[in-house]
Amino acid sequence: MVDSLTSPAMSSPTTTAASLARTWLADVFETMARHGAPTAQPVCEALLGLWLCDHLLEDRTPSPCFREVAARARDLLPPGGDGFAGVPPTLQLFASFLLTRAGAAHPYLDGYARLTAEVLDGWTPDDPAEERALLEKQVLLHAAGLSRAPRLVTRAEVIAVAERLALPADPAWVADLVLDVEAATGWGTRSLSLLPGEAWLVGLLRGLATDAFRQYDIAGGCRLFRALIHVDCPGTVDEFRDYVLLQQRLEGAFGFFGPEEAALRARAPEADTTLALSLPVTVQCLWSLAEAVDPAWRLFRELPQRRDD
Amino acid sequence: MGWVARNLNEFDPLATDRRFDIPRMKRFTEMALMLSVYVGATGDTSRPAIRGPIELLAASLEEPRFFDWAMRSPAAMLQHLHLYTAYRTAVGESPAQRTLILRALDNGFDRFVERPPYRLLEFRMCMEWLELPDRGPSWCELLDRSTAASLPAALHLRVDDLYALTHVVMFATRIGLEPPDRFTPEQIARFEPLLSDLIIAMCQEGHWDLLGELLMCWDCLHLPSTPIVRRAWAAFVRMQAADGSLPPTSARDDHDADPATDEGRKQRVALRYHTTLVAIIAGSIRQRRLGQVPDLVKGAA
Repeated sequence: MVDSLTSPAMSSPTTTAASLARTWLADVFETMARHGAPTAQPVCEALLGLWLCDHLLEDRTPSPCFREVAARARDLLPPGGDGFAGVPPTLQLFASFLLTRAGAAHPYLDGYARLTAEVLDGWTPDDPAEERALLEKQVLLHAAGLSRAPRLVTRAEVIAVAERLALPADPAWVADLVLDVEAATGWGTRSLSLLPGEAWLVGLLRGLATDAFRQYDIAGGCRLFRALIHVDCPGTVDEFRDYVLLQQRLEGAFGFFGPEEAALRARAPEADTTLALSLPVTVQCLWSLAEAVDPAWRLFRELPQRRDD
Repeated sequence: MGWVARNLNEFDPLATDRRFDIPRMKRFTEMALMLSVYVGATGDTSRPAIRGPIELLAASLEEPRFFDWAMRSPAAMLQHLHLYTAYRTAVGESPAQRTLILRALDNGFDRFVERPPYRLLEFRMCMEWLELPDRGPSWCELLDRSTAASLPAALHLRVDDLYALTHVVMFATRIGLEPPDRFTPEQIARFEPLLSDLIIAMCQEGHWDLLGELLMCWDCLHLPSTPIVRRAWAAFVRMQAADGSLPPTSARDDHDADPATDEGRKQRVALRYHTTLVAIIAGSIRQRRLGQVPDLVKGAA
């Protein structure tokens, strides 16, 4: 059993939320462990969520509690690549770095990170869209000291995409814009200084985040929220942070997904709604909260530990 | 405007046998408000498309079958004020109407109906527009009781709350015909991101009626044009059909209505009249403010 789950630091709404979330995530992890052979994705997500709670609760990271979970996660995760089919590559990298930091390196994931770095270092992109799609991995791998520095998207390139805005905005265009902002800020690891005439980009991201949250697309809203944090717009962060905090259930998960859970059960009676809906959204919310409350803390900077070996 | 003129019969409160045809009365009152703003903003009373609505208004106010109900019900006081405001703006003073309105007010017609803050603001706007004696709560009191006092987050505002918000801005600025002096610079600065967020959200939701009202509010508050607002105007204008009308939302459209039939035409007017009037008002305000009119010209007479 995982113990010591309640943090003594309960001084702000965010730490209270993190404490609740940690208890819930630990329960989710326990449930997965009890049932045996869980799929890789929720284990990786629970790990990331627990590590984010560690940060928000100002524990020494990784905390003893996290180390214990990480060691068990390593044994729970499938040993080879087949077991990770369908797990987003970035999440695999997150899990690899987290397990290594906790002294519980997973051989396959460790190798995956190194191999991905090698492949990307030797790769010459000829399609800008493909290049952008892989930048997330490159930024992470570079922060871990495994890969060369990627060429990030420039401010001018972001503005050029924004200028193509036509309302109502097409979802594909919104996805391009968010990815470009993320790529230009290195997922928050560097600043993006907008020129005076370009400040409307902030309004655009804020409006799109507002729309996503109004549609109850919490994960999409969180991603836009973080993009907004990364382009540095004081004043708007509090509103979205409070909204995200409002979405926490009393048991600690984020998202009031009653209607979506019912729809999912109707579509796929065997689906685990906790793992399919609440877990990924909880991680997104914790990630956003961690970056909102601490301007100096960015997941992409803090999570990878430089490895020069 | 041409679409309104061509469908004037659907705005006529006397076109049916029923004395109190509430949907028609609502349409007629909103058409009167459009007249007040259009004529107030442009000074134009001669364009053929505006002559029909003006003549319908004048005829109605002289028709006892229609007009007398206004003196029999405090609930009709607000409509009465709107109709007379439009008449006074487009035609001229009517001492008889003024006398009757003052008599109704002296008998408490402004107090007998429970109204939310934005309706009280609407009442006050009409009273001032008509230069009637000052009475009731002040602008300051009313704005403090309205949604403008605490500007809620765009994330939480639902459709009815959004209409309450747009109405507060519209009525406190006489629908853009007066500067936004009743709001402090700090309030206006807080409105700007809120409206901008909502403009994007309404574009994404395809809620063209609210988008029109929000764009109107943007100009009512004299906010600077931005790339987002310009693109939102373009989206709004794109929604205008060949006949000049605009649908309220993307979800609620009249695909099943056959405009060739009388029933289909009525259905189309019932669905589209409000957004089309909003477009005329928003365009008039924008024209007055910027000296340019958005390209809402399809179906113009």
